[in-house]
Amino acid sequence: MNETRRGDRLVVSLYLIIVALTGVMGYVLARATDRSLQPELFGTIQLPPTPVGVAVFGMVTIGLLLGVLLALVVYVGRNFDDAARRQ
Amino acid sequence: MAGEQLVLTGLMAVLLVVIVGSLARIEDWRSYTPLVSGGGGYGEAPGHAHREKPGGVVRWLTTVDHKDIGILYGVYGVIAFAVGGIMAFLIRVQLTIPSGAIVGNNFYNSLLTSHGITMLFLFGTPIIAAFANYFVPLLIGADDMAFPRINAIAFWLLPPAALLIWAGFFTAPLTGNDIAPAQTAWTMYTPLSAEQVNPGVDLMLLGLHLSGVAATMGAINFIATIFTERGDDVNWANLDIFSWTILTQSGLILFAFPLLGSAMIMLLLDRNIGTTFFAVEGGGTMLWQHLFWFFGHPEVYILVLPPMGLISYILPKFCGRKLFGFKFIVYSTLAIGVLSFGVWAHHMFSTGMDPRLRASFMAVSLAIAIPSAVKTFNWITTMWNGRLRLTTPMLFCIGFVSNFILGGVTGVFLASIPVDLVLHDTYYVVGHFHYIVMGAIGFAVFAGIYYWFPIITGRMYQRTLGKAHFWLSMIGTNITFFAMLALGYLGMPRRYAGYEFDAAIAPLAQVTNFHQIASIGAFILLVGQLIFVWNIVTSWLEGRHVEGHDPWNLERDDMLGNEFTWFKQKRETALADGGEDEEESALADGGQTAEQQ
Repeated sequence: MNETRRGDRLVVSLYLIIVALTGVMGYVLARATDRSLQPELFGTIQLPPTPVGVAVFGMVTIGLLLGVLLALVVYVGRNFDDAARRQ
Repeated sequence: MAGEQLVLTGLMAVLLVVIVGSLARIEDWRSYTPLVSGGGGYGEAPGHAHREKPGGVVRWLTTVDHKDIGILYGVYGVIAFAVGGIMAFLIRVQLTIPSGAIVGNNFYNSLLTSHGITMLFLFGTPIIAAFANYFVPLLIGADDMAFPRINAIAFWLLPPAALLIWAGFFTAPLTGNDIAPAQTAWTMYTPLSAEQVNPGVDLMLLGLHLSGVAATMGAINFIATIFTERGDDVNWANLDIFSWTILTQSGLILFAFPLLGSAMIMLLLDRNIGTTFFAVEGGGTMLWQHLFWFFGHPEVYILVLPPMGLISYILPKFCGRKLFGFKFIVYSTLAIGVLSFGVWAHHMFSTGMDPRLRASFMAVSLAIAIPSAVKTFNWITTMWNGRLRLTTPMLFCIGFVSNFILGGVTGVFLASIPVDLVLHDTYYVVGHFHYIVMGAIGFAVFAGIYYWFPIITGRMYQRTLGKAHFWLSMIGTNITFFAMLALGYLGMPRRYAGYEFDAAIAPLAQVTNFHQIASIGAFILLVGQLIFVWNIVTSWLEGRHVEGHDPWNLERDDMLGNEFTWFKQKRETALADGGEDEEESALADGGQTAEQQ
């Protein structure tokens, strides 16, 4: 019970798992519907209307969104987390 | 005729006198509270104290000890969770084939209605009250709740509330379905709920009303306790985060539940004595939705704020460090509390309400995501610089954060009017809010149960079973509710007992597949919860006794909370009492005996 893990590694692992799952979700949803999905990355870059295209769309969008937040966590954790520094 | 009535009245009067007399003779229940002396703080000598609690059932029926009442709430909540969970499982079995697998449409509607009401009002609110009753007084250094007897009354209103809400299931077979369980869905929308002649709806409304009265009494008690009963060393600056969330939640209950009670009385009057509050020729059917959701959305935060408090309290313990941004988490709690009263109409975007009003509610609904995101950010930052110990409560905390992100992000999309108009009343909504109520609230409750299990029982749960419970719950939750999100994209409407699809909308085979995947997930969840119940019951009865006062090794990181300090005192007092019987030791731990004072 006293075995410890580094929190940053776990958070990065969670980030990667969530982004990978987003890809799976995109692929599954595109396969499940007959409607033609037209994924457009950032509203400008047209991706192929296939399950893989939708998966890429999901992974890049969520990866970037969560990536920005993760970068913010890293920045705040390094510069403003006084409690961790004290301990 | 008049004579008969007179005799009946006389008999009733005699019966009442006998009952009051019996109750008065059972036990001098005034003795259980230190407040009876007019004092209540440590060191004040009560004028009268009882040597020990009565034994057996009488103890549990008459107790006003906050810890006992906390356990009563907990047992009640777990039983309600089991009932609501079985209802949910039957719903999932029913939907494995398009025509419905096991029950008729009306019974399905009853299951659906009772599942929602049971989980929200008979499990969610009471299980939070269980933690709050047991631990808030310990965390803030109070002897007991401010009003111990009101505390007991608030709990004892709940069993009759459950019986009334579930009454239709018992009376339906006896009355040939004349009094059947309510089939209104948990939102009780008019005109459906006003015009269904089934008296089971009235029983359900009365039960719900009773549970609301109980919640309100409890809320008043928590507010009074946190304001007036704090120990000398506990001030607003160092009040723990769980008590902050309970205080905020109690404020929300105080403003929200009486409104629900009033609206339900209006509905009962419409149903039974011909008023027209919600009739088209009267106040109109939209009035119910406005009143209901003015209660209903704060209710979401009534249910989620204390679990957020649990996570904020427990997660840092296993990160080996203090919570990052404590103040901001408190501020975000208060912000959510205020904003929660300004978002109710996002449940009504598709009703045809004024578009200008819609836009303002969309703005506030999007805004309320900000304080929630602040909390999530702080939990992740706390983990980032921490040394994590993946105990069962910690796993449930991490699961909470993960599921809360999924439930929260899917909710932000629903706050947007154009998206909501497409997805309203589909399974996407069901998937979204179940990520919150099961994936987040449920997980926080489990984290709390495992974390405080050693204090409540003096024993440790079986760790392997605890971890199996977590992984089955995590996998089951994500399979079930992701499948529901997908069903929503495919256009599957919620609440239906069966389904048929025009191939132009979605292929029936795909819809059926996702329903079956959701049902497989529900089965995994069920297995996980059976393991949980087995683990808790067997560990409580014969689990290994905890050896010290610090079963989580928190002292090493200077993270021992007030409740574990209390636990330490309890154990030390028990040693000092050596040789006494168990009941007496327990009394000495819980408060102070007459001899000691």
